Amino acid sequence: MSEQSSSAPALEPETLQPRGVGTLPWVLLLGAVVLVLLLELALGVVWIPLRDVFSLLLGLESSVDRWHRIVLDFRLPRALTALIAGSALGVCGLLLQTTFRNPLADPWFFGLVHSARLGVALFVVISGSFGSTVLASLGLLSNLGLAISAGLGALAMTSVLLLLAPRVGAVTLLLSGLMLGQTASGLISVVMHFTTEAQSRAFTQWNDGTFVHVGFSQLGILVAIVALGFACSVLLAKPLNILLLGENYARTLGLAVERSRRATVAVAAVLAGAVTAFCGPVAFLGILAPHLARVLFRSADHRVLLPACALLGAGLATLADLIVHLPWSRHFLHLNAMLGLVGGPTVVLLLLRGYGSREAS
Amino acid sequence: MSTGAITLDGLAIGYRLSRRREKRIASDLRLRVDEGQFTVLLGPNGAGKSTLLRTVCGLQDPLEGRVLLSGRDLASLPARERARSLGVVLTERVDTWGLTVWDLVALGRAPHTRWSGRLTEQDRTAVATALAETDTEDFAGRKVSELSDGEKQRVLVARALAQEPAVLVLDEVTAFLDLARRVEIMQLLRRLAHTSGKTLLLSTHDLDLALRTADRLWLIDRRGEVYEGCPEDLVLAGSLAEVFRYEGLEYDPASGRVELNQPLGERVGVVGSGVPALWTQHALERLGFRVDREGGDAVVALVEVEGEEPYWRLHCRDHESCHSTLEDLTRELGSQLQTAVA
Repeated sequence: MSEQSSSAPALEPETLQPRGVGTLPWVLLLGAVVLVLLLELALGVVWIPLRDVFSLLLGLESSVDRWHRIVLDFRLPRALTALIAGSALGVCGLLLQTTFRNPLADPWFFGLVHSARLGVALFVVISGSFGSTVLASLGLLSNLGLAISAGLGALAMTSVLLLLAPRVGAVTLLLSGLMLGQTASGLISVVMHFTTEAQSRAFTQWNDGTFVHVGFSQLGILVAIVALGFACSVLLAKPLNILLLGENYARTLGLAVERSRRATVAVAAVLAGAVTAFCGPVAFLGILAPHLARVLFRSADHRVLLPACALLGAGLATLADLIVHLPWSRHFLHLNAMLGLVGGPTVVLLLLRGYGSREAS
Repeated sequence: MSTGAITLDGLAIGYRLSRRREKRIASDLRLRVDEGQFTVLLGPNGAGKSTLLRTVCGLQDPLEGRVLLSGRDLASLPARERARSLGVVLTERVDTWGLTVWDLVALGRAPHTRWSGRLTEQDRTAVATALAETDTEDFAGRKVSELSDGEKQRVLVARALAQEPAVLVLDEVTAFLDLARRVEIMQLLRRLAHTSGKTLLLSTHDLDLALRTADRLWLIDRRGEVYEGCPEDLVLAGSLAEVFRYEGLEYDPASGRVELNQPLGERVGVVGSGVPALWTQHALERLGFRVDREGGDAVVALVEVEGEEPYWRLHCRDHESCHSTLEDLTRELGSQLQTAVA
């Protein structure tokens, strides 16, 4: 190695432009989501041919009159809710995993979901707005209030976790989130003690996660909040990529680390809050989507992972909802039970592969 | 005052433990690294090398004084601008979640790209050049987690180079590498300083490597004293011996090595020449004998080294024996001296 060989090295084309992600995974994923969505609209207690589903979606008549009501009034809002809530939770999980440098991070495990529900419970008690009506008939203001209080609840939890994160390891942080989530659940019971019977009945309706009870008016709010969250996530893609290198390297690259972290968890809290306010506690999507996205797209770049997580979350949520609503003769399946069937083993696998032993700094 | 690329102006480094208390590692440092120079910060483990480098990078606030980067106060530089002129390689492990080498190196462009992090043609060229300079192009498509320690270290250097900074600060980049990789990295860095005019400040506790490669040394001891100068001047001034004289170690300017500072034992004469004689001396010194190559009268034993395929003849008082390995020889010498004492 002579020190005089200073001529600029010839650059290979591959080193100038690495092999990208390619369009195939995107086409496959998008196709799968569309397929699941169509099945969600077609299958159920009443099986409706895809041809009729298409014509109904295009505003045409279907061969049986009451199918109009089934597809457009019942199944479509449920399907859209599943798509949007699922994508929000998938993105939320990714934001949390990168910010906390913790592959086990998830809005449910980290207690965001429960603290969001606590926020909702407090809002219900304080405003007394529930009355005897069911959630679907609430006015715009109350719906917005629900979403905001849920977001604030989730934000409180992420703030606590941000304080804990530098001091503890990945698994300890996960357990802290789980336990604080349980504490929030306990507090919800205490709060419910001070409500009227009608209020608490309305609240217990979504003690379990489901996409059934969301009407078009709430869907509008959900779409607006999730769209806002996604827009912010796009802005955060570069800071998140830099954060992959760790705090110190990120700082030497000129990133305002604390500010980026706070912004990221705030977006995650808003997303988790909005979903939880309308769909109740939905588990596992936040941890499944990011890991599947990394495997499917073989990338760690958030400009790839963010849309991938949104699509995967949407697809998984809709698929789980589809399976729940198949005409089972004997069981009534729950959404979280379905997600847990896949999510539980996945988390155990991640733990066994040593992801939990990574430092959480 | 002429400004070097890095100037420490009355810098005090250490940690603030509370509002009143602080742990001061070094005070009133006035040092300089000139542009295009390869300066090595050398000192024993625990002397505060990392703290000094972290302060120079702006990862840690100074207790007093300033760090000047091309004459401008580091503390007042906007973060993005600082990142464009100062690249850093740290000791900490990078946990990259499936990031490829190319993507990791491309993150070095962050201070140059716009909000979305999209790479321009110029950015891609900088990445490719950094990969070429560190000879890491071949694994550009591999995942960082699959690389060996040496490869990973080179990739981290490439990432810092892609940043295109005028100044590179590297903390213990050679630690945990085997000798060949250590030499390779040091050669690479030295070449960078001399051919592309970058200013390099690197810390190491590897004395030998530092002496062989550095243009200048910053020598830090455990009391926080820092000596600067060209390596050879520091050796002749005795500074090196001063800093490394601790815990039974002694830097020997004659051999250029750190020796175990154990009390020297009895004199043994070695007669012979060439490489075998040299390693005979080595073996005896390792065992604590003082070697006399003249084979004078004051010796307790005399070793004659003979032949191309060396064999050794040992004379010790009345005893005389022949040995085909140094292990045999030294064992016999030990037992002869033992019986003599008894």
